[in-house]
Amino acid sequence: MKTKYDDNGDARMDKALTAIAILIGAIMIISLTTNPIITGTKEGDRAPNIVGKAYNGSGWLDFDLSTYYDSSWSMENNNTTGSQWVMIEFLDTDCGYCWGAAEEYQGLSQYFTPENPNWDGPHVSFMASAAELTGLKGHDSSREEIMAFRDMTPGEMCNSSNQDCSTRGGSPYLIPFIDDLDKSHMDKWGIPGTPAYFLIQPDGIIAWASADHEGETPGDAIYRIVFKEYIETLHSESLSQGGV
Amino acid sequence: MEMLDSNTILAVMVIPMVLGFLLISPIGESLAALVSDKFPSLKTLRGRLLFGSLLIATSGFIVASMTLWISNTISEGAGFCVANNIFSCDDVIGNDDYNKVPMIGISWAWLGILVYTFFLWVVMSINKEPDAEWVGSNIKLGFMVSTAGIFAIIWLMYAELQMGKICPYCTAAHMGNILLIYGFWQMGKLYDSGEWHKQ
Repeated sequence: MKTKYDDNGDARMDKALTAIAILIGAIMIISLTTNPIITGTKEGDRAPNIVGKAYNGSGWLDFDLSTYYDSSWSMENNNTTGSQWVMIEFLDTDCGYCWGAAEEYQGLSQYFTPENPNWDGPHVSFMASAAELTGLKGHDSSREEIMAFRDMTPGEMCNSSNQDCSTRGGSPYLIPFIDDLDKSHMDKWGIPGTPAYFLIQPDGIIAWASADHEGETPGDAIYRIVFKEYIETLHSESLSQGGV
Repeated sequence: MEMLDSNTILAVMVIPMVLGFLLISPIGESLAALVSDKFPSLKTLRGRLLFGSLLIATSGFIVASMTLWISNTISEGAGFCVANNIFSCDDVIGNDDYNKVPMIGISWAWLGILVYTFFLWVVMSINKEPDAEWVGSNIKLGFMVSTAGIFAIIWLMYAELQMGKICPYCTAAHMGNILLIYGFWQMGKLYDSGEWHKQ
């Protein structure tokens, strides 16, 4: 077989190698100077943003989860900034498990705040994203039902439409309830069922996902992650200042 | 990096692109006359088109690399561009609803850097062997790919409109693509006229 020699072939190959070398050089520089974190719902991922409407007790207002974040936060300055951690619960007001967990979640939401004299750790902002899990018996939620669930007002039926929302355990919530009746946020976060909890660092990175820690409650997770880091930070600061 | 404002960095990166555009534009001849003694290849239209396009592709590649760098550092929480402003790369590149190529799934920044690598190869190989028989097809290839980039630019402009934010780095990369369409079109015109080889 006769091989045809291409006089001009080397220019294309030569420059292809040059272009690839430039590309590889750029990629190496970028990969050595950055540490990309993907957006997702696993621990260590950047939490997908949530934008929509949330009920805060007085009305349905614009909500943007990213406004809670502080990009300058780091674990090293956990106690020195006014940054807040975020605990979010994905629930359905007709979900029996969410109904049962409401008393504890509501209690926690008022515990890890600067207003509580018994808690001097970093502020943890609680919120809930209320979806309607369609196709399940008695699951017919609405904004009115979300408001009734949050405020414990009578007239709406929660817990598979079996109980008046005002009869749930605990006290009225003071936290924002995000409208996710179309399940768009749940789908975006890839959450198969409720309740699901996520603890998010002040920089927007997921620190804890309940699905990965069976048996650990949101309160346990806050003590284990937020408070432990806080104590360690205080301890290292104390040592650097000559204390014990 | 923290020493310089992000807009200043971008302005420096775009200088070669502006020079490249001036070279391939109608005023390129008079501009090149100032330096043609040192760079004789700029005396010809072919030389100006090739060198100008090379400058644009190089600048575009650097800007696209910087966009990928920003894309990666945003996930660290770095505030590279000015936040709470209509010009914000953080908000545009960091928006996970729009920052990936539909269906393919890679980030637009990655696509940008790959496309500019292709442009660099096309222009550099023509520059190396301007009289080779494959030059005509390479010019057409460059023109087609850069023209296809218009669809991506329109989609990204739509995304920026939806977000109400503009990323100056992305815009600079888009400008480079548009300038290369013009560059390849001019090269194709020169090649088809038969004047290419005479130069």
